[in-house]
Amino acid sequence: MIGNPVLHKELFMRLRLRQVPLPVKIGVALLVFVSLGLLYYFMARAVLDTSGASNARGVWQTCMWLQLIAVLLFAPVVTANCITQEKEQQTWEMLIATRLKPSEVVFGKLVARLAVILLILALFLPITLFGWINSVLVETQIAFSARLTELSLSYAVLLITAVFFATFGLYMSWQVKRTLAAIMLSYTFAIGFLLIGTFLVFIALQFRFTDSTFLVKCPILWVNPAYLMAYGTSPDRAENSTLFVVYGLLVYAVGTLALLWRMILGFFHFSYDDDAAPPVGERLRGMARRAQARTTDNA
Amino acid sequence: MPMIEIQHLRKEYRDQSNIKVAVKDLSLELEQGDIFGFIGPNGAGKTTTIKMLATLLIPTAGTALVNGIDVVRYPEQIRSIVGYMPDFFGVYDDIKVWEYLDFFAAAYRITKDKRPQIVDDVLALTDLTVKKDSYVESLSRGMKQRLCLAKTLVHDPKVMLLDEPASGLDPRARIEIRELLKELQAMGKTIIVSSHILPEMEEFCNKIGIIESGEMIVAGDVNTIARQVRGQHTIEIRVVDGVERAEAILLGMTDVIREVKVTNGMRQLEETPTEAARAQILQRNTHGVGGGVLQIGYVGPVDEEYRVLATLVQAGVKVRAFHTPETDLEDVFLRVTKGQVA
Repeated sequence: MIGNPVLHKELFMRLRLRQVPLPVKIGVALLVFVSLGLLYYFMARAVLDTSGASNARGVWQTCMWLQLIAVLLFAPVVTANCITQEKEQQTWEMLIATRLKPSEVVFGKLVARLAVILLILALFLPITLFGWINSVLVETQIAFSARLTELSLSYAVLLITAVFFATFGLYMSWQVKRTLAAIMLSYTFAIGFLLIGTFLVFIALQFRFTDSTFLVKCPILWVNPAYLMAYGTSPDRAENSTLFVVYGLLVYAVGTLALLWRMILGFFHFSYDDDAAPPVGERLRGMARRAQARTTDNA
Repeated sequence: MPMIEIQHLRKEYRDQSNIKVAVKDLSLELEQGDIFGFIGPNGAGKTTTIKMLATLLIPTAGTALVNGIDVVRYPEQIRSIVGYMPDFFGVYDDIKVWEYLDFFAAAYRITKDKRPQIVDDVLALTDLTVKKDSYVESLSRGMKQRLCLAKTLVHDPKVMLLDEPASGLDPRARIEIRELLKELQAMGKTIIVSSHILPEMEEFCNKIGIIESGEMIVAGDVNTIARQVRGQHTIEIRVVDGVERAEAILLGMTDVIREVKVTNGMRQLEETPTEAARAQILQRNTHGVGGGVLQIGYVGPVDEEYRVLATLVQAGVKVRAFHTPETDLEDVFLRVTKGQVA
């Protein structure tokens, strides 16, 4: 992965932001610094100024929610211009005509953009852990293993959804020709469908889920990131909460793998043209035919 | 073995319920070192053909071999021996010229230790060494075009596919590209170049193909095609003195000469003389009024061309030059195409 030219270019060349004017750079840096400073100040004060366990718990949970919002807002958009930008500036054909493997192009772009998301999450990490450790120290009646579970589940929700949304943005970028369309489609799916749509469907259907096991019985909720975060940060909130979050994360993981598989297979067929792209079944048969032909030729 | 061998290549696009045929039954053979000029109106299928050879599009039918390797079965191998320059291309922002070339060299699996030397070499070849540390977006259009050509050369491809490499350039930049292509020709590269600037194609292409509506109408040696299309080829004769006399003699050689065009300096005296004018000139049979240039449409056997010169010299016409000028591709193009698109 380190030797991947696409990753190297994305990380060390395109993030130079040379064309961004210096005052804008300084302004953005100040904004981030001040926002984070205020966040750290108020969160730390909330934890230290009171002896109540709920405050410490509230702080780290709030931090997790803020991070989820950041993931929902940034993850789809940072990757949605990955490939459309190449198409728009007419560098895409030259890129895919090289000897780069499809997986190198996909992972190079995905990892480079995910690094931005991870950086955002890393900025929240100290205050989140500070709140969590304080809540563990104060709420001694809850087993440490249970607290560790909620922290692990919460971060798993953050990281797995971040990877999924970033992959989905990349997939949209691969599918359409314009960045704006890719961003709109990514947001529509991430926020419109997964966040709001699934919730509305659940509201409409909730009369069917009257018992306490509704979470695991209602697959439409498995993909709602807000529900996953709510039950990830408080597994004790309902029966089978942990199972519910695990189901949701499995769906996201499978979705991520499916999108990656689809993109890499599409690239394997070296056809970027929608009209020319045959259906997946035909592509698989094509791969098999080519593999067979190579074997025959080698023989 | 031909360097490029295309047999019955066909490409169809699905356009909703319709099927649009971009390339129909295209066949072509090129040897190593050939510079093939791909000529055709917009939408004729040039770019589609080039993209199929560059492994960017899959042919619907037919085969295309580059150096004996099938472009559909072994796209990875093809990419290592083919350099592709698209008709429209961009460059990455915030990247220096040497970084741009280094990135593409890495993308072509050139090891890190060899890349600096290769980057220097292609920069020298494309005369961009002084711009090595400049940012690519600061380059002029012509320089970007040369940079793209340099990018196409980083993996030392045997075959170069250049789609309209000189489009949109000013005359100086076009000349620079043309000179660069001549250098590549001297390096033994097999080049397919599409262009609309036909006079320039004449200078460095030894073969041409004219495509229209997805069909290759004619392909082969430039002069042979011109002769096939026009049924004659042009011989230019420069005389020091006796231009009218020379004209009279040439007009008398009706068995091998179809038309005579006379110019004296920039003034064109007679383009297609009427029968009466021709008879008048023949009757005068006088010595000419000075030097000039005559262009004749020769229809006789190629190895008998010398007889025209011998006749003029024997008649006392002082001939300064007798040669076949560059073929007028535009004329050939207009004669064989109908202005249709695929």
